Amino acid sequence: MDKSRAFVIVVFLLFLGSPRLGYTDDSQRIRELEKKVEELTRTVNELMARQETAAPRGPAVTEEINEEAETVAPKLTLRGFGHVQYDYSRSDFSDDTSGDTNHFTVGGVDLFITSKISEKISFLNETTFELEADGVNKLDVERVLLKYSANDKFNVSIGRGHTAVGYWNQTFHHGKWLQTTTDRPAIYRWEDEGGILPVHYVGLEFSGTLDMPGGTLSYVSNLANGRGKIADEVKLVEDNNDSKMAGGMLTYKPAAIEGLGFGVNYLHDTIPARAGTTDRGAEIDENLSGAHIFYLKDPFEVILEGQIINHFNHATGMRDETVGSYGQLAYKMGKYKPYVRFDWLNISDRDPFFEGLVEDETSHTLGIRYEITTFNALKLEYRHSDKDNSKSNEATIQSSFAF
Amino acid sequence: MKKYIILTLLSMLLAGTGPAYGGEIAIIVNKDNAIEDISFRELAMIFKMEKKFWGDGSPIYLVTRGSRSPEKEVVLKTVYKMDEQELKKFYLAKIYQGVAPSFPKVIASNQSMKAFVQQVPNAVGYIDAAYADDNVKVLKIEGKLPGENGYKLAEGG
Repeated sequence: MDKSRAFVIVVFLLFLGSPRLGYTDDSQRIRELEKKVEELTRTVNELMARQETAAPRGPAVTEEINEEAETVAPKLTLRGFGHVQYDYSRSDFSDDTSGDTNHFTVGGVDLFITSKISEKISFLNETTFELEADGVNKLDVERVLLKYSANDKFNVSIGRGHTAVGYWNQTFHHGKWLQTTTDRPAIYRWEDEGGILPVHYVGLEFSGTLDMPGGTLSYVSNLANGRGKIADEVKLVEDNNDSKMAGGMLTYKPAAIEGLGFGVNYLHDTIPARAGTTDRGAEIDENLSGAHIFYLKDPFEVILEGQIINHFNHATGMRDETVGSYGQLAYKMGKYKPYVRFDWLNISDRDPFFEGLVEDETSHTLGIRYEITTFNALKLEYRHSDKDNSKSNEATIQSSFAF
Repeated sequence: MKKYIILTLLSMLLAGTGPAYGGEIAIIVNKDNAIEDISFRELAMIFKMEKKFWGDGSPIYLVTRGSRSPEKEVVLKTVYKMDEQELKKFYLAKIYQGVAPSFPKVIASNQSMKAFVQQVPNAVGYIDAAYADDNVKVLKIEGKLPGENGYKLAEGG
């Protein structure tokens, strides 16, 4: 039908543009034109009627239908995320010295591949190319998952992914463009950036959504290789002990309040002993529990989360507790989204597993996000942080994008 | 001047060859799909890719319209409750979270949408209700069809 219309319009425009041949006056010309219009309209209607009686599909639609019906090779889709930023930091250290730094940072490239292998099987891969401070390029396969979706209630994935530990870890991954702030909360730092939680797993993930009275209950659970001997060791191809890490997270979303969700998570692992140490000569039992609540409905963004890590050290017979939480609030005003966040982290100072990490940290963040385009955001952020009594005032300008 | 008058008349005539946009959106599925009625909440879950399977276990194939179609505008306002740019971000986030494998397929016109849904058994899409016919099944939303009082998928609804 569109082609018929286009044809009529083209013919008519050509007709209008042609020299006036043989017309004695305008009224005669108009009568001729009207006659032509009537003829063309009849033709269009006839064509449309024919299309309606036959299967109403044009070549493009037929192609789309064929594409859907045929079993063709899986189609790989490549997307990416990236960011560049400028940081300024002024610090007063706990040893009464002070200093300031400023630098530009290329945040690397986060390539994201998806492919639908069959109706129920899909593949996902997230690989980051990072630039390290020493100038070395680093490639990290962050997520690689083969997922089988049986139905809405049950999906199973195998590979490497993000653990069912908290809302942030399940929602925001390595690309910074999706998150409102320039960086992750302190409790969800990556393992290789001083993080305290096992945010990656290698193993199985089970997930699904169940209809419940008054809302939906979604679950995610993991059965995976446990932690390594230190916090920054994700066991990719082997496990140090026979015990596997097992955990799960539940989130309930009431239908009555759109945008609201709340839930809990729990994880158990046995951390292997570390040879050559006195206080790590035996395994550590790790029990991690947390809670989250969020309200995400424009213009509001409210996220509150807390995690408690309980370690029982079989070498010392002592129990240590590490606690962390954050609260984030944002309010969208057109292309602008001002936000605040409060981070708090208290690591048990005698827990040998977290040896070398900042033990007490509080951070206040104030920022504004501006949507330059649909897939490019500019974030201006100020942070005041206190890490083991070293105080810093930091500012970041970050441009993050999806491509 | 007369040229423009005639051109305008012609445009009006041509525009009149298809049903005029009626302001109500019909949710359509394949005629073989057993579903007849759906709640507004379920519909929103399907469109937001939170519900991805029909009752018989077959995957839902969501098809959508282009960003400037009046039908898409109604769906954005009533079902998604967000604008086009927010919807793009929403879908990209779903893909990034591993919840959805891809963006929904975009179909160019009401006729093409109808033809697609007619041919693909597990598809669901939407058209201007004036285009609905026996080739596809129009779903009731909260027990109501387009044209009935209280139907939610309407301009200004």
